[in-house]
Amino acid sequence: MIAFENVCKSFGSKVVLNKMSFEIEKNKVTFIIGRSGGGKSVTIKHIIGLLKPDSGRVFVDDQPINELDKRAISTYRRKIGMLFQQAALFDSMTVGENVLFPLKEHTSLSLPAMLIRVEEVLTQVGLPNMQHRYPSELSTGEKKRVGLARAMATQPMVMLYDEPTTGMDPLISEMIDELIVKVNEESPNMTSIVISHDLKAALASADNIIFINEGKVAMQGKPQEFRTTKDPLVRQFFSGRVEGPMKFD
Amino acid sequence: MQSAIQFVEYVGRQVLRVKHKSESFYDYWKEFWYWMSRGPYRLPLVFKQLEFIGNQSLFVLILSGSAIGAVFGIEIGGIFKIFTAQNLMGIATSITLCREIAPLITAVLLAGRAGSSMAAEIATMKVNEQIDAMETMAVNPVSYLVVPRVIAATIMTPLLTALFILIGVIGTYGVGIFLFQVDKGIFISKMLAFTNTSDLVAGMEKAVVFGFVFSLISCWYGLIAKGGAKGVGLATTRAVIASLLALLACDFVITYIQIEFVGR
Repeated sequence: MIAFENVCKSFGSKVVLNKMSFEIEKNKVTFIIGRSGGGKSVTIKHIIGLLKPDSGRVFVDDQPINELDKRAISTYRRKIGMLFQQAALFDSMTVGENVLFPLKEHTSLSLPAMLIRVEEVLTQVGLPNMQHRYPSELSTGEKKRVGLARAMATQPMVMLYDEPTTGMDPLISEMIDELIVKVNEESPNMTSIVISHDLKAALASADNIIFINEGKVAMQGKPQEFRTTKDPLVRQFFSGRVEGPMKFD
Repeated sequence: MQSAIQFVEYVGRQVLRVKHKSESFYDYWKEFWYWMSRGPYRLPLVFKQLEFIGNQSLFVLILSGSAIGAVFGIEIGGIFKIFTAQNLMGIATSITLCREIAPLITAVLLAGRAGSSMAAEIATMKVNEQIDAMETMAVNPVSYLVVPRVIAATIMTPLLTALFILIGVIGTYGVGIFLFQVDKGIFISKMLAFTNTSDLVAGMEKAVVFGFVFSLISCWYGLIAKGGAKGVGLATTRAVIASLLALLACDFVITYIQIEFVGR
């Protein structure tokens, strides 16, 4: 289980997280949604330990992440996989080398076993026999899928997706959303957290949704609860109207 | 009054900027030595960097070495001719090349070619979130990107300096023989008789430090890059300028130590 307990984070005078508290269930797909610049990526960076809260605590499996030292945080990160918004593939490496990278760094598998695993995860994301191509030769959707394969290679306990479908056409978006659900189903111990402002995807794919507004959790619940809620903030966000209680700077 | 306040504000901001940069470099320095002392050293990456710094710099180094040796020969030969002492050209050139010119010019060339490339590559990785991805995969960027580059530059700079000395001396030799009609045997015998091992050692000591300094600085500017393409450009430019200034400062300090304290 992942839990935020009164987490506050500011950058200069800008308050990004304001006593944020929530819990994320294990082995489920949770979407964190909210406006751009609303603190979603900052939230995810706290889960990885790339940022530390100004106050409050972040727990993963009852372990306070923000209190871990450098070595412990490195060990903890081995349990995490992340798909970056732009995939963040190493462009000097081939697709195969990219997926091989975390395996080489953190497992004691033999090279043939690693190569089998690389083929396995690439097949899982629908890109078999792509090992020898370079990221520059791939489409945006393919890059994302390779990024996902790389994140999955070490079988992480927590998978984080940072806006996985931003800037993609509807077909590729749907394919990535389906892949997220498929990966979670095929890995029984995996908890998936998706940062997104794609409401359709959240309602279709999530087990739980957390809606963030002004650095706080405005609503948390099942997709069905979000469909039927009368909360004016959520309704405004869902309808995409400018008029409403949500403030625009 | 208003402009005085603005001036004080400006000075304050600059002081804070320098303080912030110094703290950031100190953290990087500590991080570097932490990973340098415990490994892993990733030998395949070190060899890749050795090839990149060494093999791919050979052409420019040979061209510069022969040109500088020849120009140096012309200048020295012209002066020595006044005293009919052209035969001593070899001594002057080899000692100067060993102690000063070869290590400095080699390091300057490498800072411009390899150092700028290191800064640009790492900066591009930084602005494209590749460094974040690396950290998320529990791989320390200093350990993976910086340590192999610094090891390779520290090994390769003295080797290339030795090559520069050889090529430079050949350049001067050519000028001495063909332009100043110096006897071949006298040129070589006097050069060998008066150039000591300590001159070569003094140059190699500098080369080791120079290789370490330019690579460490270049990688750092890559790691602190911000923004997009502009950030990469800025990081590269700053890396080269800072490396050159640091090389000159190190050259002064090492020369002083060598002469005053070591007696080389």
